[in-house]
Amino acid sequence: MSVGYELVDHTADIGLRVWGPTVEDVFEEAGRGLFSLVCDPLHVGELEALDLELEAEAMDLLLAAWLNELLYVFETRRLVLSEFEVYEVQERRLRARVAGEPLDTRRHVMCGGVKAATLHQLRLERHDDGWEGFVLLDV
Amino acid sequence: MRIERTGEFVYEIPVEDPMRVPGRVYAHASLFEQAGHEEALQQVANVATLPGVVTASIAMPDIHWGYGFPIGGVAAMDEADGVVSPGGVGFDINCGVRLVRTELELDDVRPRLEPLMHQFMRSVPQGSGPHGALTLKEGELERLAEEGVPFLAARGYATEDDLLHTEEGGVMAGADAAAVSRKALDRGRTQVGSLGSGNHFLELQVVDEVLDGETAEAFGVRRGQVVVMIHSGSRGFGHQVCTDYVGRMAGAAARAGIELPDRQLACAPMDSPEAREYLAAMACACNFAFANRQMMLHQVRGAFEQVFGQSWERLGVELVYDVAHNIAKREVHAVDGEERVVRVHRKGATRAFGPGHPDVPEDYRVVGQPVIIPGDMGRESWLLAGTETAMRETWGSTCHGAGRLLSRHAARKVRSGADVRRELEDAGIVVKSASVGALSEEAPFAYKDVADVVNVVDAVGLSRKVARLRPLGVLKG
Repeated sequence: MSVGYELVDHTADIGLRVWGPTVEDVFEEAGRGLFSLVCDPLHVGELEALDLELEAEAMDLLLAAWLNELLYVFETRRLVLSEFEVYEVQERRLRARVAGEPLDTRRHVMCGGVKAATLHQLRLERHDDGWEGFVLLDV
Repeated sequence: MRIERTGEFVYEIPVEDPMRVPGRVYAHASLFEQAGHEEALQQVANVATLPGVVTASIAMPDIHWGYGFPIGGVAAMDEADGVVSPGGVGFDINCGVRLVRTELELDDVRPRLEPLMHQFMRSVPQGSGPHGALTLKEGELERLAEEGVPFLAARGYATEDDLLHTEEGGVMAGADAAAVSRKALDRGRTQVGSLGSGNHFLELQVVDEVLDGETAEAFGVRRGQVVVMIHSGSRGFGHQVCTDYVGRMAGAAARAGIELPDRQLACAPMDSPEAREYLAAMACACNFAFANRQMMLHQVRGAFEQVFGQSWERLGVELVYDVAHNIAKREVHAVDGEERVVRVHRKGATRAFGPGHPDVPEDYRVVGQPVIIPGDMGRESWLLAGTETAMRETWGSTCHGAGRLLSRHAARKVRSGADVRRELEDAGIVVKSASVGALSEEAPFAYKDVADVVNVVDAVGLSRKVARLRPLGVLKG
């Protein structure tokens, strides 16, 4: 299975479909897809990295929690995230390292923005040749 | 799912297992041609399954497919044996609108339209990145969240009159910052007094038609007058509160044996710790949003002073009203002739209390509560008034906006942001935006005509048309 993400039309919100050979790939793609709606990186300046550890009651809830955590990092650390390295996704837990450049509101071009990842129609499935997920984003 | 037409603009979804009450949708027949209407109607039926839901699961004519509740959804839950659902409020807690009047006429503003809009852009931070207009010291955000707009009034950012003309007087009771997570506080700390992104905006408008002179006069509104409309919410603070409690309530619902048709409808019995804490945190987010819009009004007043060289008091920059459209409120309503305490969830719906209600500010009480309905940035917005019919039929609620027609992605494919800007400018509307892309996503063609929505609520009597407002300048998040 290839790896990637696509934005899916939804009247008021935006769907994010992600796929990849491993569940970690799916989470990494979801991070990229999310930031395509938040802010385009300029690839200038030093990248700042931070380690994340998250827990949730199920693996699909972990996918929503991951995206909400990335929004939290963007708003509070003011980092335009562009690198997502997900070390390990377990049933209820994940470990990852993300990195991005500091937000410069004079230079970065903001995209529409995302309020939150919702649980409506949330999916994370294992297929024969890989993984696929869907998250509806409130924008 | 069966749907029966029971009036020209009223449809009923009869009770089918596991619904507890019927669904009732106020809508124009064109709803049934709209993409996603089946999903939206299913969401009306889903809300009707929640424990303690009273009388009906209701939807307004701007109904569309959301998450959990439909957008435009209204449901009252019994305060004793019902549930509270963060999905019935949404992520943007107390997203709302305020309308500000001035003593300026169109001819006063036209020659200074560009500098005025430029000053708004400089004074009111927009987009999802920048810092808000208010800097808070350690511990102050918690106080602002508990005290609401009175916190700002004590510091000279709001007047007594501003408090009187804000729903709940700008402070929701029961707010307790201890129920708000560290993360929500972190996100909100720098965002008080910022517009945000998405469909949020600040518009300079002119009153171009008055349909109810007596009510308009009570609201201090007249034809040819320049007004300002601000649409924003509780920013990252509210988004995080919702995220936190949807997560916690997924477990609470399961423990209470509640089967959920959609996990975003996660809810908890009113007397559970999860519900009590959510309501305390939600009240904080409501106060944050009231204060956020108040801080932007403060900035707008400063911008008028700068451009016109006179005090804002002299320019008459006064708040007409501020209404919430994503909220769950404890209210007393008559049910079958008896008074009942209910928790009214309004998600993309506006409170519209009728004449004589004690919660309507005294100076408006004879005519009913002002209701502010933003339209798209090219056409028009509306000022309405609440009615007795809304009190009887919809827990004193009405519509909240135009409702989307095209998804953001589809809108981008119709025309570029630069083209949208040119078209608006050709129509004489000055446009300022943090994101050019956002302009096509929020273009007039992406929305239904708000007049269609307003015509339905006026025809069925859920509110009364007072005045039509036309945009002169738009500041987009």
